[in-house]
Amino acid sequence: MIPLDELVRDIRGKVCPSSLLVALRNINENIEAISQGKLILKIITDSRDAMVTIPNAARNMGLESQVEKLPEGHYMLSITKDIEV
Amino acid sequence: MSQNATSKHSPCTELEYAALLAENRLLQSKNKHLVDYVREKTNKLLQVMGTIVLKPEELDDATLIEFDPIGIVTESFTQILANLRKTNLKLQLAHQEIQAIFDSVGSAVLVLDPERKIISFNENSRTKLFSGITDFSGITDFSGKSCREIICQHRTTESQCVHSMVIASGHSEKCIGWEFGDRYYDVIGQPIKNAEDILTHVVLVYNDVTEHRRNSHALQRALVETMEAKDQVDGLLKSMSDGLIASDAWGRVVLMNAAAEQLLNSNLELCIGQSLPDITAIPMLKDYLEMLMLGSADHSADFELERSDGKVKTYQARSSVLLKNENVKGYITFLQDVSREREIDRVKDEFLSTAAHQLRTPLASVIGYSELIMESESLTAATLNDYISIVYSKAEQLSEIVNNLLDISRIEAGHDLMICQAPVEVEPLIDEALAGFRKIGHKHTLEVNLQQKGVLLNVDRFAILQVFENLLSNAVKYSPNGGIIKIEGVILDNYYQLSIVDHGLGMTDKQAAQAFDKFYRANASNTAISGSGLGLTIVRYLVESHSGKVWIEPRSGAGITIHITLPLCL
Repeated sequence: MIPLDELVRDIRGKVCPSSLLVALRNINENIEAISQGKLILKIITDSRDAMVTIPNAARNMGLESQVEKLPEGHYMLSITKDIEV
Repeated sequence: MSQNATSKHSPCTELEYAALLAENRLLQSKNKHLVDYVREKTNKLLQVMGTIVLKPEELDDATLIEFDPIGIVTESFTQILANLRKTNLKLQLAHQEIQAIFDSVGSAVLVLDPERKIISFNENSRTKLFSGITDFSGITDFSGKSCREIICQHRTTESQCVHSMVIASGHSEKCIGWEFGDRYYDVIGQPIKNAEDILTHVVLVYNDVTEHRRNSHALQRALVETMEAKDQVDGLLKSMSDGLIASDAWGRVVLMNAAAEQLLNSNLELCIGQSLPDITAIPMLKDYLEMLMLGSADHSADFELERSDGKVKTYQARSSVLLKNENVKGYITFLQDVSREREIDRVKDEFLSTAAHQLRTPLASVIGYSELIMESESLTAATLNDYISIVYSKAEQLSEIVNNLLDISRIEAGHDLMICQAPVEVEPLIDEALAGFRKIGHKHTLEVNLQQKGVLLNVDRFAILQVFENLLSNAVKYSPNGGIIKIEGVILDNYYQLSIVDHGLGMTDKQAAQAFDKFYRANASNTAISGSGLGLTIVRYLVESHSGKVWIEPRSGAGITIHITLPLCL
């Protein structure tokens, strides 16, 4: 398995909708690499709303997202290529 | 910007300044409209995205324009639309796949709305469910019709209706063996719900189980018949007195009946899967089974086994090879008690040997004296007469032996001697028997003492005469020194007992017990007394043929008494 590149964006301090817009801008900028499965976009956020809005938007765009709670109390969203069923 | 400040630093005229101010206000107003427009559109797009609106304090106007949220969301929407197109394509394919399955599935499938109206149906529904409906002949499209009117025609109750069950429970339901015409269906109902979890459709799948049901019934019948046959075979195996061992092509035990278990002092549980020779320690049987496995066994083999009661029995092991398409599929080995057959063979051999011996002695005398008569020309008339008397006597003896042998042969073969019972007075019968002995038995005194006169017996006259003659002959022969021979008769209960008392050589108890066996002679060493050893055997048979009994009462050293009982003529 080829190791994937990771792009980490820390948007702590931003709340929705700014956090969503920032996430969307990063997704848009890297959509090709993410869709091809070459890149994982990791977004670190402390907004609980973003836990819903960003994954919903990613799913609508055909991407997969996973939420991981970090020990510091904030979250990391991993946006990846959709898993084909 | 204040007016004073403007007039202090700018060389513009008042008019120019006023114009610039107006232009500035206009630009500001336009800019505000633009920003408001951007905010309004951004908020609308954000609402579509499912999030809250942008607050002015979160992004000021300048940052808003620079951040370009419309551009961001629009670009995301482009991606969303592309994804939707992709998803739509997938859905379209999935729909086609489902339609193909729907049409090709072996079951009849109906999609109904909650009011039982048919939304769609597959081809099998037409052939299996709709084809027999005469009321709707000519109708090809059943969409919109009620399944209750078309299929069940109100014959199915609410509690049997799978559609109703699904509507009531909201879950999958089924009805097993629903009868429709001459066929049977397992009907499965599946709810289809919308995003709000509201039931919108019910899919009914009709699986035709008629053949399965018929096959199942046939299988059940076959199973019952097989079980009955198995019970019969089990019963047969259990009831078989012969031992039976079934083994596979490799000689491993697969079945053994109770008789075999008892014979081998083992059980099927212990022997199953074991090689045939390993299930027994009986040397001859083990050898036979080993040879069988090597394919070089004789057809059968005898072996002896001591039973728990101490008796040694002879068994025969014989095997049949089970063949299928000329391949060995197994072996059936029978263990049969052949003790009686072997005993019969032994007795037969002994009978032939003894009979030959019995015939040879008088025959030798006949031949010897006949030769003397033929070859000697100088014999006196008296000597010739003696020789001829001897030949005649020996010929009579031979005749008696042959007659006895024939009687015994008939008895042994199970052919009853003809017994014709009729009223016969006992006293004249005894006199008739005694007549011959009175002529030759000059050394003996024959006394008759019958307690009752004129007693009638229900007997075969000739058979009982033969009995009397045999018994009297023995009494005379075994009393070589002469003496009194008494014949006593008495009625006891409902039979007549006749006793012949001699004072001859006598017998031991053991000899008395064996005296009625074939060819048994109590004093065989005494060659002066001729006899075949068959007389008493015939006596017993004749007496027992009259439902009578015969027994010997030995009086050690003082002769014997033979008693017989015979039926009275009542």
